[in-house]
Amino acid sequence: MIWLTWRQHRLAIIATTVGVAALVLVLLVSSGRIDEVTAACSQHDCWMGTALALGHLLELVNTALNMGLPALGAIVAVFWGAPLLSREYESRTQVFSWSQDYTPVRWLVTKVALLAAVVVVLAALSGFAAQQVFGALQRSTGDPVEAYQGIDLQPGIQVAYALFGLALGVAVGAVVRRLVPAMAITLVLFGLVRFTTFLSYAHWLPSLRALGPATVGDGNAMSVYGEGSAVLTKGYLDAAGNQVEFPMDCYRGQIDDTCPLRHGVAHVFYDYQPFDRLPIFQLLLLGVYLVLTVGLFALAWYRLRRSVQVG
Amino acid sequence: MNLLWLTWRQHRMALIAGGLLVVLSQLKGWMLTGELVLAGFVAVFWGAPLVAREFEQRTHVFAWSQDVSPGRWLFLRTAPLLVVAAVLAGVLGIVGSARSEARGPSMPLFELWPPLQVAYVLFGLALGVMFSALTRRTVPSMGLTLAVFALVRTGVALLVRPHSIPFVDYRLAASALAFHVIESAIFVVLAAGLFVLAWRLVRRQETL
Repeated sequence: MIWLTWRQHRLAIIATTVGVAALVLVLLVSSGRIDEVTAACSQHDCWMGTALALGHLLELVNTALNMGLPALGAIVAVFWGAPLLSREYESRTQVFSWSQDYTPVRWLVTKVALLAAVVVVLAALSGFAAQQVFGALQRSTGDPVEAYQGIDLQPGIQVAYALFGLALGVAVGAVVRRLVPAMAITLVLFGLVRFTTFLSYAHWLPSLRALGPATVGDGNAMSVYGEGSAVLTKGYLDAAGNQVEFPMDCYRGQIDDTCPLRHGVAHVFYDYQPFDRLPIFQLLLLGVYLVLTVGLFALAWYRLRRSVQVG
Repeated sequence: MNLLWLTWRQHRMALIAGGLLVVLSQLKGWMLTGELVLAGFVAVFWGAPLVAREFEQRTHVFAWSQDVSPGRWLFLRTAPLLVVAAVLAGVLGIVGSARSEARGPSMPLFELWPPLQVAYVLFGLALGVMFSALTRRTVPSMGLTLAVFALVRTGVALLVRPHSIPFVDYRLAASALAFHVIESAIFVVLAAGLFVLAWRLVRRQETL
């Protein structure tokens, strides 16, 4: 069975592994390079700042983190998961592979377990490399301001994303039973789910509200809501606590921080998630994706068992 | 006419999905999604399965044993998809340019130039069809198409395009046009070469 799985999926496995190896290499080398520049800038004081000294390297890292890393889950979903059952149904080879020593359900469980083991290793490696490079970026800017941007840059959540992709592909293939439509639908659903959780996770817990004196600039914002927080909304209140618009007049002429108060705007407020909730959100993300994964595998298993019983 | 009907029957899912993609990308908040992914979508989901499916389901025997030769079959199957894809890309490019100009010059306008959008889509379809005829297997053909498409698109963008394109300064806008024409030409020439290659691959199979 290991041999069969390897024979049928070697192209997908080899191609994905090569891609992941390239991604991990780029991230780890960049991470070392960023640390070097940071160290050099701390000794010689880069006149243009660490970020500018990094130059094109920063673009490369951004592309790898924003495009390369999410692509792994999508590729596993579309090219590993979706064909698994749909191809068997479509070319009617299920008659051959299922009628031998293995019952269909055991065939599915064995195959998925073997593929999932490879997926875990690949996703954990890329998650680890992403974590390294994000750490290096944080050390180079010197503050944990953007901590929430790196929420899923760690092995655990990356593994959960990729396993979810595999489960989604297998389940869609079990329901749709046609190869190309199954791949397309898997791609769309995977994108939708990832996009939705990314946009909404910060709202899964009620946010905190911090109040500060209304000023013209955003200068003292950090002292209001604390370092490393994720700000969801920002607005202004009058003395009675009603939400009001910021007076546009205060942007004209010389900057005067007493101007908002003269227009009746007493406070600025920030609705935010504090830095110390970051691990809770990570656990929530992990939990949501693992529950989805288990549910989708169960759906595929159920559909397959029924289709075999019906014949 | 018969073959046109067949093309619609076999690709209606893909065609409907492509149309939906174009419509959805016009929704608020999905700015530029359609423009960025249409060509890749056409390459992987329209082009790459085209010939391979016939081989995998062994329907190429039927498709080619009738009055139509394999070369002509390929042309008749590809041409309608090509026209639809080009129209979709052109519409996306025109609408996208208008919308992003309305939002100000900070948007990345370069790739939205309508002829360039059409060139991307032609290249994508040609690449998919070529790999389809080469591998004769659907999933490998789709995977290869995706990988090579992504590589060529980024490669050309990095190597050919100037790193800062003047959007605002009208005096320099002419040079942006030159780069537009160069990049479009590269993709059209690549597409033509790939179509010829695909045609030869399919024709060679006639004798097998």
